[in-house]
Formats: sequence, C-alpha cells, structure tokens
Amino acid sequence: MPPEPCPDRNPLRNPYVGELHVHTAYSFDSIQAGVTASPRDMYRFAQGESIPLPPFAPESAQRTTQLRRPLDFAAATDHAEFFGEFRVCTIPGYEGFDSDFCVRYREQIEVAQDADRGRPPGSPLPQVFLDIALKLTEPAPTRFPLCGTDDEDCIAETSMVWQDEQAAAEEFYDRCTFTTFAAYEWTGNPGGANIHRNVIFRNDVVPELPTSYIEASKPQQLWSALDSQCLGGLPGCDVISIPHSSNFSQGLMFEPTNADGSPLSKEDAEFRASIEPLVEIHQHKGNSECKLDVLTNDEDCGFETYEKIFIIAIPRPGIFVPPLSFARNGLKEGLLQDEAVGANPFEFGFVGASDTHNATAGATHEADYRNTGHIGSLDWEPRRLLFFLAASGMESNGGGLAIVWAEENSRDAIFDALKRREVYATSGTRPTLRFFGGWDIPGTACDSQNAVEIADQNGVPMGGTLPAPPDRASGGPQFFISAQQDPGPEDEPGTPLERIQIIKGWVDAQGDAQEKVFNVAGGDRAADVDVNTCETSGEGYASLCTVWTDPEFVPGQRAFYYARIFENPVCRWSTMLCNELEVDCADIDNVPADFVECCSPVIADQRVIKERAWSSPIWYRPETL
Amino acid sequence: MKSPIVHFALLGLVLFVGARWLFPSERTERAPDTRIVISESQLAALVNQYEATSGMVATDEVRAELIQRFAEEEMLCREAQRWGLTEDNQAIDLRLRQKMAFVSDQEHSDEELERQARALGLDSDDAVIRNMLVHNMRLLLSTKGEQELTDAEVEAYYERERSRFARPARITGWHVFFSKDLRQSSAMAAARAAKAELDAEALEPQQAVGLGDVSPSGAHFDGKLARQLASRFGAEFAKAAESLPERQWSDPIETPFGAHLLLVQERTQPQTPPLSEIRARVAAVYKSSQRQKRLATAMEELRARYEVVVE
Repeated sequence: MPPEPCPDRNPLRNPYVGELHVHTAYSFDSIQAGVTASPRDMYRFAQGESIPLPPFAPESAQRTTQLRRPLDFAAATDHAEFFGEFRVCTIPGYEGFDSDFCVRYREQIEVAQDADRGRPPGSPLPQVFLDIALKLTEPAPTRFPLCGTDDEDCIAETSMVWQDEQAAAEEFYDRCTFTTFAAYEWTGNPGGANIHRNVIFRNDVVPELPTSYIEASKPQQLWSALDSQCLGGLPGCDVISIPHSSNFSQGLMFEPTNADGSPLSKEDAEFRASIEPLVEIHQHKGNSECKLDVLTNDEDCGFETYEKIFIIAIPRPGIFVPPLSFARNGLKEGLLQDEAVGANPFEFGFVGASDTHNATAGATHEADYRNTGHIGSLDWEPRRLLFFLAASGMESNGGGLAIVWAEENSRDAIFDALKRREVYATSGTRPTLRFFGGWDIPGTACDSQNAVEIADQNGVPMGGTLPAPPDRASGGPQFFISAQQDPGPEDEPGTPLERIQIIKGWVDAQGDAQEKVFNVAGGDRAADVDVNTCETSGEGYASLCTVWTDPEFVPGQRAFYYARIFENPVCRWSTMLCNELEVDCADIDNVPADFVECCSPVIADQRVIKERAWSSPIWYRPETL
Repeated sequence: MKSPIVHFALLGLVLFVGARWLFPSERTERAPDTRIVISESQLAALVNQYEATSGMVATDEVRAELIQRFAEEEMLCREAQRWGLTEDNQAIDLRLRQKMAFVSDQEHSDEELERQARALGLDSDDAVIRNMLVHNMRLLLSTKGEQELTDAEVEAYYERERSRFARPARITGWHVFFSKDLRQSSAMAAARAAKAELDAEALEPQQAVGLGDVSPSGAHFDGKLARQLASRFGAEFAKAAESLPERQWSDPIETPFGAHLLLVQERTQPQTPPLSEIRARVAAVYKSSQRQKRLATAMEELRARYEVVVE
C-alpha cells in the first residue's frame, strides 16, 4: 500500500534544499583530520543542531558550528575505500592493528585532534595521509597488508560500517519532513585524475557491501557492479552515480569511451545516461561548469576555478586543462555522440554540494566557510584555511547545494526528481530557479498568478527533452525562466539577482559543437561591493521572469539549453577573512607570515564573487520532428 | 564480488570478533578501587579551564558538573581495566613507549619503557589513553546483551513515544503580494492601502490576491512547514505564518521581495503518522535509544558503586 501523500504534496513540485556529498568520521581523510562526527551527527547538523569540530585540545581551540538554515535532505557519502581498514586500525585485537601503517594512522588521528601538535600551515600532508591518497592513484589498487587472511578482517568491518551508514540513514529519515539516503563515495584517482562518484540509493534496499575503487577500478566496472547487485539483481533496489570534480579529472570524466578504450555503442550511451543522470558541477574543490579559453570565451567561466591538475598539486593559475574536464564541454560531446551513435551518454543535469569533511552538510555560506573550513584541524584556523589554497591545499570555497523540484519531501519523490534531472545546482546560496521549454508557452506567462502551471502544461521542466514541435510552430522553442532571490537567513537579507542567461550548445552544419551565451533577463544595474568593507551598493532584482524564444533555432540541429542566474557581487570568503585579519597587501613587508596567502594571486585577484545557480539542461533532438 | 553466502559467513565472523572483544570471557575480573579522590588542585585546574574558555565564573552547579564529569571518566577507565580492555592493547603500549622514550635519556628495551611508564602511572593519566578507554567502555556498556527487536517491542515503543515521531505543524494560506521590483519604496504603502480595503470589505482570498501583484511563487501555499516558507519568502514571513491567528489578514509584512498581506487558512497541530508508515524509523530510533538507556543505567550503577571525594 503506498503511503499517504505528504501534506505539502504538490503536482507542480516544491523546491527542497539539500546536498548529497558529505563526509563524516567514517571517511579516512575526515578522521585523519581529527573529525569525530558520525553520520548521525551529520544528520542532526543538517536538521539544525550544532556539532563540535576538531581540534578538541587544548580547550581554547574547541569550537562548535551550526547551520543558519536547516536542510530538507542529505546523505553521508563516506569514502567506501578502506571502511574496513580503518576499523582494523582502531580496534585492538585484529592482527592488522599492530601493523606499521595502523600505528602511524592512529598517531595522525591523535595529532589532528590536538592543536598544540599541529604541523605548521603549508607543511606537506602527513605521510600516512599521502600513502592512502597515493593508493587511490594506482590503476588497480590492492588492499593494505593489514586485512588478515583473504582480506576477511577488512571486508567484515566494511560490512559493519556500511550497516551503520544504513542504520543512521534509516533513523533520520522522517518522511515528509527530512529525507536521507544510504550512500557512499567511490574514490578513483587513476594516475592522479579525479574520477570520483557518489553512489546514492533510492531506499533501504541496498547491496550487502559497497563497491569501492578496490573492487572496481574503472567507472564502468562500478556501474556493472551496481547493475548486477542492485538494478538488475536485487528487487526494489535503485541507484544512481553522480560524478564530481571533473575539473581535475584530466579530461577523463567525459571521455566517450568504454573501459577498454573502445567507442560507445548506442546501448552503452543509453546505459551511461540512465545510471549517471546528474553531475555535481560545484563544490569546495572548485567549479566544473566551464573554464575560460577551454573551448569557450564565456567571461563568466572564471568562477572558483581550481587551477590544479591533481588534488595535492600546487595551483597554477592559467594551467591547461583538457576540455572534457568540464560539464559544458561534456554536454557538447554528448550531442556529438548522439549524432554518431543515436543516443546521448552525457544527458546529465546539475547538482551542487559542499564535499565538506566536517560532517557539516550544507555549510556553504561564505561566512561559515571563513569561520570553520571544511576539513577538521587541517583548515580550522585562518592561517590554515588560507594555506589551503596553496601548496598542499585541497579546497577553494564553501561549495554548493542541490535544490530539487519534487512533489513531496520523500525518498521516492526526491529520487525520482534526481533521475528525471528536475534539480539545479547553486554555488551555496538558495535562490529559486524554474526552467521549462516548449513550443506553446505564451509570452505573457510571467504575468499570470498561474505562471508555473501554464509553463508546466505547455512544456517540459529542466532535465527533459523537448517534445516534437506542433505543425504550426514557426519559430524556435520558447523557454520559461523564473528566478527569485534567496531571501537569506534570519536578520541577514540575501543578495538580489543580477541577470538570467541561457547557455545554448548545438551541433552546427559542419558537425562541430558550438556554444553561445544569451542574456535574457535583468542586466547590470551598476551593483557593486566595496572590497574593504564588504558593503554592497546599487540595485538588483528580487525576482526575474521571462519567456525567451531561441532566435537562432535551426530545426535540423540538436541542441541543449540551460539557464544560469547571477546574484549581485559580494565579498568572497577570503576577502572577509583577510579584511578581518587587517592584512594590507600594499604594505607586504608588514603582513604576518601566517597571512601572506591573502596577497597571493589566488586570493588577491578574486576578491569579489557573484553567487549563481545553474538549471539542469533541456535538450532538443531533431529525431522528434 | 563474493557471493551473498560468503557475506553471510562474514557477518558471522563479525559477530564472533565483536563478541570476543565485547565479552572477554577469559579475562580475570579484578575488583577495582571504588574510591575516587579529586584533589583541590585538580578541581581548581578544572574550574580554571572552564572559566578561561567560557569566560564565565563557575557556579556551584558548574563545579558539581565538572566533578561529576571527571569522576565518570575515571570510573570508565577503571572499569575498562577491570574488563581487560587495557591488556594486550598495543595502542596503549605504543603510547607508553613513546612517552617514556621522550622523557628518558637512556636507551631501553620496549618492555622496560612500558614498565617504567606504568610505574610512573602514565597509563592512567595519559589523555589519549583515557579517551580511548572511555570511548571503548561506553560502547561496550551500550551494546552489552543487545538483541534483535521484536515487532511487539517496536509497537510498544511507538505507543510510548508517539510524540517523538510527531510531524511538525503545517501551514496553509494565501498572500497578497506587493512587488519591490515594480513599486520600489512604495510597496509597503500599497500593502497598507490594500489592508484597509480588506478590512472594509471582506473578499474571498482568490479575489483578494487581485489587489496586489503577481507573486512568482504563487499566491496560495498548501501544507508547508515554517522552514519552507522561510526558504521562499524569508524569516519574517515564516514567523508571521507560525503565529498569526487563523482566517484573518495580517498587517503588511516586509520581505526582500516587497510587502505581503498574509492569511493563514489553517495551521495543523503536530501529528504522529501510523506505525505502518514509519516502522523502520521507529525501530532504528528505538535501537539507538536503547543503547543510550543501557549506557545510562550502567553509569548509574557505577555511580552507586563508586565513592567520589574532593579533598
């Protein structure tokens, strides 16, 4: 018997704010950074409670943190690699407990929890941390030699951790009010290329063990495992895989090939699109939408770029990055694949997430990131957070959120919305964004109290594919785009909107992929921010709405369209922090060594940001004609 | 991947390993010393630490709390020793060797370093060792004797704890919207004028919304949590929706979008759904609360058994 509909059930869908990329003390890097918060603590935090963060000693270093606004849904996505190893390392009695690796592992946890034992900021990462990270760069890694006969100890403990992740999700799933998912992260870095995926399950019917990079060292192997152990092999089980941080995937993330390098068939492309309906395009390790000069001249593509080819490399602004590291280029490649094989493997929508390693789901506010960082004692104080942008630095910003258009706040409704890509990514704030495409959307739709109903009846929502045009359609498709600013947390008004853009990608008559950015609503009203005081000035828009018709539509050319909205400019977290530290880069000789990072180009050239949101695309396929 | 049967066997192994660790049958119980003495100087240190970090003066209540916390940790450490959690524990041995090697200027064998460290009492006052023991002992006490829950137990728990599973209040209503984008600074004045009209002549909500501008989020909302309203319209709007009397138009409420007149049609009381709908959650919460309870009972027994003195 299906459950009762939720009180706010809405056939036109409600926006639910959350994220699907959060690490807790079950992740090797979180615990190595001194984090002790469990998945349960994470869910409590997401619901608005405060949690403590490391370091825990001395007492003067102790701190707690709390969300300004709770979330509607969340999932713990701990690194499935080494779930068992780290239990073996911390439970006396296992043979592996005494291995040299485990001894160093425990030592590092102790160091991380005690601020007095912290290494100087900018020091290389601890060796045991590097050992683990490097393991994940091996093309076909084996387990560390601490797992007992046939790795049984580690596999047994992996099962314990996986069961506890499920139990926590079950305990905090409060249908209609707060949704959780059983999930984990598959953490492959072959040769240093980040091809990580978060694996999200629809409900409590899940495989007995997670499939990590140890068991499946290629994404294709991960998908077949999910297919055989869940989709096709376990009734009631449903799963999606969400890639992230393609910006340092060295072009692998959107490579249109099978594991053996062979080209995709139609079936391969269809399978890939169905199991990976979404890409996480914004998170604390930078933005993955696009990069200026990498197959684009879009000036707005220089947002929170990571400028690294490997997570523990030094950032080099302007570094060459292979084009297929970016989602927009992936979408274009998808169109070319569709031309070639008759199916689009990269038919994906967008989500944002924090990737916090503090168990602080949704802690994406610029000021929160400035205050607490995202990875335990490694970035807990200003000088460490600042150095996190440099040599061994791993992050760059507070990350983003996913806002889902679902009928109600339940696992099924949210999971269905994720699968049909009716979801959008934000850079951390919470503006509202609706996007529909169709052939009969009246130009006056925005003037109606029932605008969304009209758009929904006459179009497909974000994530969909335009239906065949009616015979009488003479021009291009229309797009209804409606955006409202984030009203902000209590006593802290949000930032007004600046503009709406449509990004169109298509395949031209020569068979080449093209892109173009259209400004479709709003515009520059000379809004500004004083980088010394962070005070904003000038006007913006509380809401924007328009019905836009593609003036360059060519019926024979396949295309995608997505909406991007900008907020007015504000201070970046680093600007707030460096102002607070009273750093004067004009007088560089007198800047304390701890804070010189404030004057590095990575920070000094990026003092202002425009928070933004990206709708999932809508596709047009000439085959529908 | 291995077959499910192998996994099942592994689960058995887990239970075996867990049981071996949790209930170490071959350990000999030693009666621990049940008198805990906190010296005045130890207490002073605790109080100083509290005052330095909180910036507040420690009241008598706080002092009692500090003593209690200190004493409970000590009890758990002593119990951990009694349960043999410190024996053959290489983590502790290693820690002792490291500490001893640091203070000793001579080369010694591992065994000798451990012996010296224990002789100096480093095993009982090292913060890291204590933390580990306290954590392990809490886990042991909270899971001791745990068994699968029966349906009847879950049902009884649900009946007992109904309010705990109550879902928060839901709000249904309408708002008349005056857009700041369209009216700039006159939005509030327009809202006040419309309120005067509504006061003079009662209108159905569907008609009333015509007095204002088109709201991009719609004029009607159904069954929303206050949190959802805050997310769409801001905290002021949500607070009003939580507190306004039902079925009457509010005075103008100012938000980042402009001004709103709000009508709460219905605000439901928090409600508990039937068990069939939330059984999995109830079972999960019950299991976790049982662990907390088991721990609390065990701590109570410990407190009864131990004597705590400040001298």
